[in-house]
Amino acid sequence: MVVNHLRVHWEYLKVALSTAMEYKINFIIQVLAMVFNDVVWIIFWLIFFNRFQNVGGWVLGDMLMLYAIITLSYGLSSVFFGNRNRIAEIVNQGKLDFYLALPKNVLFHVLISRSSFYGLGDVVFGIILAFIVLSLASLSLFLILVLASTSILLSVAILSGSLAFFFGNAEATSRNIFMGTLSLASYPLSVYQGVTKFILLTIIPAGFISGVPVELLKSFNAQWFWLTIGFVVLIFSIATFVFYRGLKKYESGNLMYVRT
Amino acid sequence: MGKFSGLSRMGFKTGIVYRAHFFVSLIKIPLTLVVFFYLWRSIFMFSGEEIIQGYTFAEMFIYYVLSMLVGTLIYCDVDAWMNEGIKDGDVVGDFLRPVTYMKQLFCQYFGLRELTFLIEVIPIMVVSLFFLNVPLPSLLFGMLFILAVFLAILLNYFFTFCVGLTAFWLKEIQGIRRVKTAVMAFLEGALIPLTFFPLIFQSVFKYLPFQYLRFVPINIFLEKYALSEVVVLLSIQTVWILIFFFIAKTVFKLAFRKFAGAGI
Amino acid sequence: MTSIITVKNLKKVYKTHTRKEGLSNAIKSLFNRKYEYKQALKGISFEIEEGEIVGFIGPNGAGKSTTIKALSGFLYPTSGEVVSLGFTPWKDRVDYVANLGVVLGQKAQLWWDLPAIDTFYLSKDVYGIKESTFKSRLNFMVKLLDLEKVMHTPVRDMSLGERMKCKLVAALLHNPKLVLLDEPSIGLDVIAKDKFRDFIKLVNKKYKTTFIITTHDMQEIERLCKKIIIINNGQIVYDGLLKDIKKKYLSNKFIDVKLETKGEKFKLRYCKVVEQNEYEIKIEVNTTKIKVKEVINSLLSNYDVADILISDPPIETIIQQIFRSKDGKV
Repeated sequence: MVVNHLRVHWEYLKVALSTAMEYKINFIIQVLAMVFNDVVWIIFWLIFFNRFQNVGGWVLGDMLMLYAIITLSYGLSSVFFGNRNRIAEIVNQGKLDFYLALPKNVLFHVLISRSSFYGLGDVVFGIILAFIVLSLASLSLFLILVLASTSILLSVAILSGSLAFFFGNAEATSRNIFMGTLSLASYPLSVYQGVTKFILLTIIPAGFISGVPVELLKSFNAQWFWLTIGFVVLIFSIATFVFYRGLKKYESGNLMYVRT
Repeated sequence: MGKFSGLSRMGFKTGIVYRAHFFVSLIKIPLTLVVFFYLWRSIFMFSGEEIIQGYTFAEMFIYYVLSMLVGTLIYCDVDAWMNEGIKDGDVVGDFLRPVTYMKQLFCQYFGLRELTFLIEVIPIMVVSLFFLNVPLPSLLFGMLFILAVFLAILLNYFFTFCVGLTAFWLKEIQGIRRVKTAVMAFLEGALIPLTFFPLIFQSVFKYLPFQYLRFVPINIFLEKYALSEVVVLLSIQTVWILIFFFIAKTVFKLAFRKFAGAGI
Repeated sequence: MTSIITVKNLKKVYKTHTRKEGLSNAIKSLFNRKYEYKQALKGISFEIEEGEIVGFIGPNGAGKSTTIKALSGFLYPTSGEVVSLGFTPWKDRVDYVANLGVVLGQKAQLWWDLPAIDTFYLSKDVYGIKESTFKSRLNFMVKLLDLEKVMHTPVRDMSLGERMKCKLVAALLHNPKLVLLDEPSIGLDVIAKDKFRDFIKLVNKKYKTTFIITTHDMQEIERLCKKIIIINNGQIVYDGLLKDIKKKYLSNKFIDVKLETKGEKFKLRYCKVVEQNEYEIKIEVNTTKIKVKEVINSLLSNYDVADILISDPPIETIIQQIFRSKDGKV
């Protein structure tokens, strides 16, 4: 089962790679751009911590840890679930019919049937960062937290993409919800206060993507660890539920959106 | 004049078709401001300093409000339009109009700016004035700010057009555009005021085009410069516009020859 | 009559890279590209006079599009000369296109997201057309082509034919002296094609507009053009009046017959049976020797006919015939 899945995946990766080679210079630049984009952010925080040493209790090492987690979960989810951010488009343009015809889990197959080769740049970058800041002792915890954060990112993508079932043209909105959540997750959790912090740990799950994992790696707290795992299970169940609820609507042909 | 109003009307109207894009920014802008608000509040509280790199907390927040405002006004993705047109060949439609390619795209871009001003910038201004207590500069600096933003609109166009011209050779320039976006966010001063960089960097930035897109207009509004400095800065800004204009003009000739298969 | 276009010894060589399929070849091509050279035009010369409707015909890849591109101003030839409306198209592009109208069958020239009427108004401003002239020209064209309602819907929601008609209007609003139509009837149904052709004829008569039309469709050529230029393999094989070539090579017609019940073997003088099975007969008729009417009468009286289709030989056949004639020239 797993081997079969990986083989299918290798095929998708090959397709993505061949397409990329068609525009050779763009291909090279694009790979570099992925890394470059991450580097710019690191420089930003270097400048920041050079001036302040401490932002809301976080030091440079914590920030690098946050980036290691974010780039890894972002990268892994784009390599293995390349259609992550295209759910709205697929629903909206009626391409879902193709997946409905397959005798497989619809959501899973939608997600894996594309691979974004460029995500590999993020994965490599995340691994390098992790090497720099991570102690060997916390490796297993780190891996569990990366998986958790990948699952939350995926759930956010599924939830925002499922908007298309209910509102038709939701491509831009869905993408922006995803990117917005990601950008909220790119700052130290400790700077947020009060209601905002509460929101970031509930409605907008940005806190659990990066902030809570970093805090856990700084000093382990069993309560927060299980809370994180519980949250992953919860949001993933909600996301799956919403998707299939939408799918029901799609199948019964209630979609108001008409394509010409 | 008719030629240009016609083309800018098309930019305006196309913008209306894609108005969903504008509503998205109604969420995006407040969200970004919330992030920066908390980030800086926490920093000011922890450090206990009144003024950091030349900005009070209030000014720092206004800096980001203005950054959103100016950024929205000068937003330019003409390079993406060019990339599309060249990839699918529809660019020939532009070549069949009796107006130069650079002027055509400029008019459409400008028409879109007008729409942006009406439905995006005015709301930001109203909210800033009435709810965020953004203090207004003196009349003189207010006028200079408007001038600087106007020049920034031109500068960003000619710069972006130059970036877009690479598509005539590379066909696909997504990668280049990504690098551009990352570098610009930094060097314009959109992520952090440029006063955070070491002084040597800052003096280099003065002679690069990027700070004139955001950082300089914002600081004119905040009256961070003496009048004589503003004059120098606006002159450098103008020189960059001219430089990119001439690069755009010259390189377009080569790009067109390349497109039309010259020299084979 | 004065010539509006003069083309002398126009040559064009294209350079393209080739790539084999598969991932490893894709990677190889990243470092090492093989190029191929293709001669699209091998030195063609022709002249076109004001007010003519000229049909430009030839099979795919013959060099039609390349010539149209050179005349539109976005193709630099390898060598040779073009003077069109007094300009060298690729050198004086902006001034030249002010008097040019172009319809490219495959490319989007209308604003995709907006109603066509917006593109029309754009033409008004871009070409500086006076309000009153604009209104009367627009009304005239829109009425003839049945676009009154359609032009208010966004272009992306139009049918292929409607789009094509709108493109034609956009290309003609500024009353250009020269109009280039590249495969204009793609996507049009029979009725629309008729209207389209009548319209072009009318504009040609009314404004003395010169048209160059590339097409595969022999009927279109017959309905519209007095003069034709046939191009094959980058060379002009015929440049002259349509009626001359018709006399020589379009003397044959094909008749396809479908039968209700099985029929005997067909036989008639000056007719060649190309193919016959139980319910179908395909006949080639030499029309200089026998009238089509006569053949059909014979068919109707001898068979239980379900359907009859009469057609011209495809353009490829005519070109083959021309090549088979002594020196490749007519």
